[in-house]
Amino acid sequence: MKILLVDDEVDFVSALSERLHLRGLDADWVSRPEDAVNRVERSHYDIAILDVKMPRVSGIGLKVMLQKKCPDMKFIFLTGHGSQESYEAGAAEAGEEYYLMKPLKLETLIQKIDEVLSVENKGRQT
Amino acid sequence: MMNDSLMKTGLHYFGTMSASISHEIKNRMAVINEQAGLLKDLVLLAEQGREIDLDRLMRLAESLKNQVALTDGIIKNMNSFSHTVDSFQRSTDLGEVISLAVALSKRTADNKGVGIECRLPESSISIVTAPFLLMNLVWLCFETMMPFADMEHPVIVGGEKSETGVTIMLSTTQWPEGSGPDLPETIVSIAKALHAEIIINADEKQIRIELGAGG
Repeated sequence: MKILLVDDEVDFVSALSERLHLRGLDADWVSRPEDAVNRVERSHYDIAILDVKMPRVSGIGLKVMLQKKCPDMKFIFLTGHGSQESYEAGAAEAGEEYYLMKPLKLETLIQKIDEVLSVENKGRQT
Repeated sequence: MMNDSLMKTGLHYFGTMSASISHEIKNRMAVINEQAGLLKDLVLLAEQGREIDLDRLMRLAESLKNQVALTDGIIKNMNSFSHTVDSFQRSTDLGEVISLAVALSKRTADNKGVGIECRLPESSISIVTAPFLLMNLVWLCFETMMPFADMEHPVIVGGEKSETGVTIMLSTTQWPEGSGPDLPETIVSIAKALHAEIIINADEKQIRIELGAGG
């Protein structure tokens, strides 16, 4: 399983990637949406974890760009939105994908990654 | 005193900036959370016998200190912003008003792919004004210019003394063809309340806020 992390906050995304690596997960990271597109053109990723708010391209906009390159890719969105109202609005916009609040609980993220990929595997089996 | 229209515009500005500040604080907390988590992970691994990289720990500790300093700056700005409504009109420093308005606008600008920078006056310029209204006016002028700017062509906000008072200038190199952007009614209303004049200077690609000596 290969994971791509995309967040414009380098200190956040690099530390998160390292923590996932320490738990045996193969997680690359980039801080610019355009670099994410380049990565997906060169390598296969099973799942992308995207910050919702990034300069120039939102996480939701980036999802559309990445899905064109890799239609099977799954997505989890991260957000720093403070209120329940903005969380619900963002979750509705993200659609069926998972939507997590920052600061993250790493165990919750890993659980969501497992859930997303197990849903995919079940889909393949049926 | 502010009329209902100005109150509504002001509340909208206050809400927009407060949401942006809270988002920024959440982001800093997210970084601190991941870096503290990574420190803990590395210590746990060291307890299990893995060699510990002291330089790595030092870099993480330094980065954490930096995040705390950044968060402190955001909270100080939030505090200064909150106090702009303490009294309707007071003596304040023009550079402080501009730098606070720019700092608060930066995140929203970043998210829209627009740069904003300030060129502060070289020396302190004292003005008597309604700082909250003035910051609201700078924000609305910036919002008006946002469609014509990007990261490579940022909006520059500066200030200087003028013959009759002080001037705040917002400029960008990507000025629209013709006389410039249309000014929304909210800008006109706030300018009137501040006894300020808004001048669009197409030659200099600027919106100028001219404030009299008394603000």
